[in-house]
Amino acid sequence: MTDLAIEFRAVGKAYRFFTLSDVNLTLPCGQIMGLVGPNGAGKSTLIRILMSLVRQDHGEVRVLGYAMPDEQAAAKWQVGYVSEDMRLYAYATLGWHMKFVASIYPGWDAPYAQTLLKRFNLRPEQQIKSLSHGERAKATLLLMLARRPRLLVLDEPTTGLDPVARHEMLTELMDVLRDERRAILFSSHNTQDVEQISDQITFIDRGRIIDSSDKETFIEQWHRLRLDVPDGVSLPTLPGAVDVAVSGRVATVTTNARSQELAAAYARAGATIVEIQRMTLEEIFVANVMASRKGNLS
Amino acid sequence: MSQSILGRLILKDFYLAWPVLAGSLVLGVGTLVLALFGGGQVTFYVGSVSFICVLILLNVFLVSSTVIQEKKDRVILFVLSLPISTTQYALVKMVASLLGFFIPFVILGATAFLVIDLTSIPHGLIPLTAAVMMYVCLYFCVFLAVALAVESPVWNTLVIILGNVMLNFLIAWLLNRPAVGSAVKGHLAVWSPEIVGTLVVETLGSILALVLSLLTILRKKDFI
Repeated sequence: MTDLAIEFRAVGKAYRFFTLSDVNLTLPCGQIMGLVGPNGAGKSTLIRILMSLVRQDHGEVRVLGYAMPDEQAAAKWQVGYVSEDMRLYAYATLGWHMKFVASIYPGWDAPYAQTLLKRFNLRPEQQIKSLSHGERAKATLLLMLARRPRLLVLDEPTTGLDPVARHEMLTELMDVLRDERRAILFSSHNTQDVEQISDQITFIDRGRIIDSSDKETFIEQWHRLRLDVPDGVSLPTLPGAVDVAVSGRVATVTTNARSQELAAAYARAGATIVEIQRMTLEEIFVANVMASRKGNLS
Repeated sequence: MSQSILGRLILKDFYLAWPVLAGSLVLGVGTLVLALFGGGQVTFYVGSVSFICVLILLNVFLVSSTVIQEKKDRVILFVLSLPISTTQYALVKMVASLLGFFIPFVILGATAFLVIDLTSIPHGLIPLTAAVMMYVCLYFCVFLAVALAVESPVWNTLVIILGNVMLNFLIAWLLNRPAVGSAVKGHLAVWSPEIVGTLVVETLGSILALVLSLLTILRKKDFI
């Protein structure tokens, strides 16, 4: 048995107008990784390669130790996959879907499925076409969770959901996380969702992994310094200053390095430190993407 | 274990397509009754044409509902989340669609030939009917092959248009062959070289379409 739930080694995939470049990424068992990127960054492509829906041009992909796509059928016994654009059979009922999936998976947890039905306020006799978008997303999640998979792969599952449905879905995922053997890969462009449930966060932009670390490290590393810069003082270019925005006497420096050392260096140059702010994950994400695009990321 | 999943997936397609299968059987029998027991030449022609239309509708509705719609609606993502490979998925679709088509096709075809044999309808019609029915089979196999192997809906539409148009050309071409045209109203079924050649081409074409489709799927890198 492997300790890694997901392993990407030098994985690449080229399309006419988009290239996923040399992705190296690992997710240990028992960890939750949030995959964050803007629209068109390559999140879905990465996940589709993971699920063997798309074959990589080069590189090695392993899921729970199984080589993908060659061993995809074996790997999928232990993987639950939900994506925002996944649909169920419109004219069949939810109950039919539950029976169908249960007939395939010997480990189908019927009591848990019943609990989820109540929690999500769904009825088995409902036809899928009569469900709202939120209900359909919850039905899909139910069909995946009751399989009791070791790895959950969620591709933007909260997209388009109202706040209540999103809360219900995230709460259920948080509940699943109590089982420490499970791993989850959760992609989204909504940093709040990712922040809520992830241990590790990976930023992806324009087909490249631009940063990957645990959540606390991101929060600890990234700061915003607000400086008062008197006339005649010019700010030095310092390593770790990812972005410098100047407006009149006020300069805002975004850094992913040790902010105290950076602040001291600016103070020595004649600037006054007004404030050192922590950044939200969304701010870190945006700063990270912009810095990556400018080539300023250290 | 894997075989049992594939079986369940085939049964699932049957369950979801049963309105199409049952509807085509009911309609097919209805058109045969009209053609063979309507009592007049007009009802015979209306019934015969409707019978062929039912077979074509079975073809189009079956492939559309089990293959094309599943891709278009992204239900394919749900099915491919199950423990099967993409190649197994394509095989399941092919087997389920072939069974779904050929079960009503064989029942309706056998009924038609049996009724022709038992009634006063000229037996000379049998070879032409066989060639037309085999054409519908070729049409189905090509449509299924394209729907499985190609993502663009344009190709599917093109096959439907060509399939319908070519049927008219085939019937006109066969009836203009002296050996076929003169035998249609006769009491004996005449298996002329044109009819036999047509049947051979249709059979080989059907097999070739399915084989080419499978080879294309095996070489495919992107499944959605």
